[in-house]
This record gives sequence, C-alpha cells and structure tokens, in this order.
Amino acid sequence: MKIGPFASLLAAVLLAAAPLRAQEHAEAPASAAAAETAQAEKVDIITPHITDGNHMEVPWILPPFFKEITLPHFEPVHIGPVTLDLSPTKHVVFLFIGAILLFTLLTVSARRHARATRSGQAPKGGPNVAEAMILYIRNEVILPNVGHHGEKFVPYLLTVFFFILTLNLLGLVPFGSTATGNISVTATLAFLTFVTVEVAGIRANGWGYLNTLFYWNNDLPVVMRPLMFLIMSPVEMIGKLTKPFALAIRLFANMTAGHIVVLAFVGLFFGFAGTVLTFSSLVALAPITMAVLIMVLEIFVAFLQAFIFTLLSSVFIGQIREAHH
Amino acid sequence: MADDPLRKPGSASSLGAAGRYAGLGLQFAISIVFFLFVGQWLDGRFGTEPLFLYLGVFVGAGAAFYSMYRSLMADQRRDEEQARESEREGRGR
Repeated sequence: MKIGPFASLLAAVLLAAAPLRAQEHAEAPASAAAAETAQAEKVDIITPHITDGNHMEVPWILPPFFKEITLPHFEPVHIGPVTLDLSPTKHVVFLFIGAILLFTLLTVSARRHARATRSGQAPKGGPNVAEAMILYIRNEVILPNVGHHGEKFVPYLLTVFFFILTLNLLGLVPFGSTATGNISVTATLAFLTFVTVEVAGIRANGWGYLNTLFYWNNDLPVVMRPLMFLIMSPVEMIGKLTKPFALAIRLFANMTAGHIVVLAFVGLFFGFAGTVLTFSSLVALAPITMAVLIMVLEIFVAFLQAFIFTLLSSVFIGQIREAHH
Repeated sequence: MADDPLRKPGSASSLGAAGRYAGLGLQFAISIVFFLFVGQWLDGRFGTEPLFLYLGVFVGAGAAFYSMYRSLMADQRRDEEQARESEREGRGR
C-alpha cells in the first residue's frame, strides 16, 4: 500500500506511452487506474485550497489545531426572474476581513500621522510606511499616467491598490484564502475600473467620447465612410472590452498559479513520504525549500500584481482622457 | 500636475507603456473571430459559403491591425507632445 502513488504514477506513464501493451494486459492497468483515481481523491490538497466554498478552516486551541466550520446559508433572494444566493462563501469572508483590516489600519495610520504632523515630528512606524507607499503610488504611478487633474482619481486608485494588496497578502497567512484568486472578484474589480475609465472618458471628452466607441473618419471618401464605420466600430468596442478582461485574467491567474505551485511542492512531500521510506524527511527538504522560496516570491507577486492593476488602471484612464487629441 | 512639488519625472511610465499594449494581442484575436462569425452568418443568409467567412478573417485581421496602428500613432503623438511640453517648462525655468 505504501508504494501506491509511485506504482500508480508508473502505471499512468506506461499507460500513456504504450497503449498496445495496455490493451494486452487490460486488467492490470484498469485496476491501477482505479487505484490512481482513488489516490487522486485522497491526496488532492490543491483544489480545496484555491477554490471557493462554504466551508473554511479556523485556528483552534485543541489538536489538530484547526476546525472546519460551515458558513451560514441564507435563503436565495428572488428579484423578478433572477435568483440570487447571497450566502457568504470563504472568499466573501476574506473580502470582508480585508476591508475591515484595511479600514482599521489606514484610519489609525491617518490619525497618528495627523497627530505627528501637528506636533511637528516625522511620523514613525506604520503611518510612515503607509505614507511612503501612498506617496509613491500617487506621485510615480497615478499622476504621471492619468495626466492633468489626476487628483480626482487618486482616491479610487489608491483604494484599489491597497484592497488588492491586502487580499493578496491575506492568502499567504496561515488559514488564509486568496479572494483575488477568484475570477468573480477580479472581474468585479476590473468592471469597476472599466466603469471608471468610461465615465472619465465621457467627462473629459463630452460628445467626443463617441469617437472612442465608433469610427467615423471625415478624411475618407464618402462611400468608404459607412463601410469603415461598420468594420472599425466593432474593433474599437472589442479593444475597449479586452483591457479590463486582461486585467481580470492577469490578477486571477497570477494569484492562483503561485498557490498551485506552492501546494504542488508541498504535495511532493507527501508523495515522497510514502515511497522513499527512511530518507523521506531528507528528500522532503528539496520540495519544502522550493515551496518556501516560491512563497517568498509570492509575497513579491502580491505587491507586484496590486501595483500592476493600479498602474494599468491609471494608464487606461489617462489614455481615454487624451483620446480627443 | 506640473505644479505638484512632490512629483518627479515618471519612472513607472515605461512599464505602463508595456501594459498599454498588453490588450492589443487579445483585441487582434477577438476581432478576427468576431468577423469570422459575421462572415459565417452572412454566408448562411446568402448561401455563398465560404466566401464571406474567408473575407471576414482578412477584414478582421486588417481592421485589428489598423486599430493597433492608430493607437500606436496616437501614443507616439502624445509622447512627442509631452516631450515638447517638458522642454518648454525646462526653458522657462
């Protein structure tokens, strides 16, 4: 039984490499495949960690030091023909934890910062860190990219940055879950950016906004104008939609991929533990080292992806506001 | 923006320029597929298979390329304008 994973892996490789042989010995691979699926169900530590659900694990004082709790279920709400299940899931809980944490940290920081400034001193600790990050994002990322009078967009973009950053980092703490590893969350964030970009375009360009939606070129011959209108307008609209789509996919994929890599390395540990009997703990050093290193990389990625989302949102806002040029 | 004493010349903007074109590839692909389906629909309407389907692929690719060209040209114009502006500011100081 102890060589189960290895044997099933071998069987899978043989199955893929030599279909003819597998046909001859039809019985053995079939049972091996069954064992493989049973084994796969047993050791799947990745899927439950990266997917959403109505269960979550919380720390507990008694062994095994965690407890699985089931989140409350609300009756679905009916609005016309639409049925909405508003029950909280694991990621919803972490959205709220992130929001509350961020609100508390930043309001406390702001208050302490104001107090330090009033007394004529430089702020220390947390407020200082918050100030450095806010000023960097504001002065290096938002204002140069949004363009003239970009101050109006600073509150939204800073909120997006810190919210995404908090959610990303919450996925790295024990018992944490990455809400930004959920395509619905990233799609909603990207949709908010999309609305902000379009509203900014309407406000900056007025009726000229229609030029970013439809294509009408007065330099063309009269016959060509409607033809080019019909061909180019869909392309312009597709171009509008691909930007937030890419934003959503980029954040979702980056956050999910890192977790899968870490969990796959941790999974290797269990794989080795069953096979290389006496050396198991030594062999496990390699995947554990890799998992820790990837985890460090993940901390960097958490900052990077929040930064990229904010940067690209600023770039898109700046782009559409200058569209009339 | 220019009167903001804290603002230094942008360093993040080069990364932003790269990100600006990240959506173009997807736009290219979706444009081709969109016009491919339009062509297929037209073929179904007029029974001209596969004329409009092929035409759609080329029209989609061409239109996406032209859209890309336009956005690149607009960005270049904007960069030149910005460079001129900062040059003026530098002289005035």
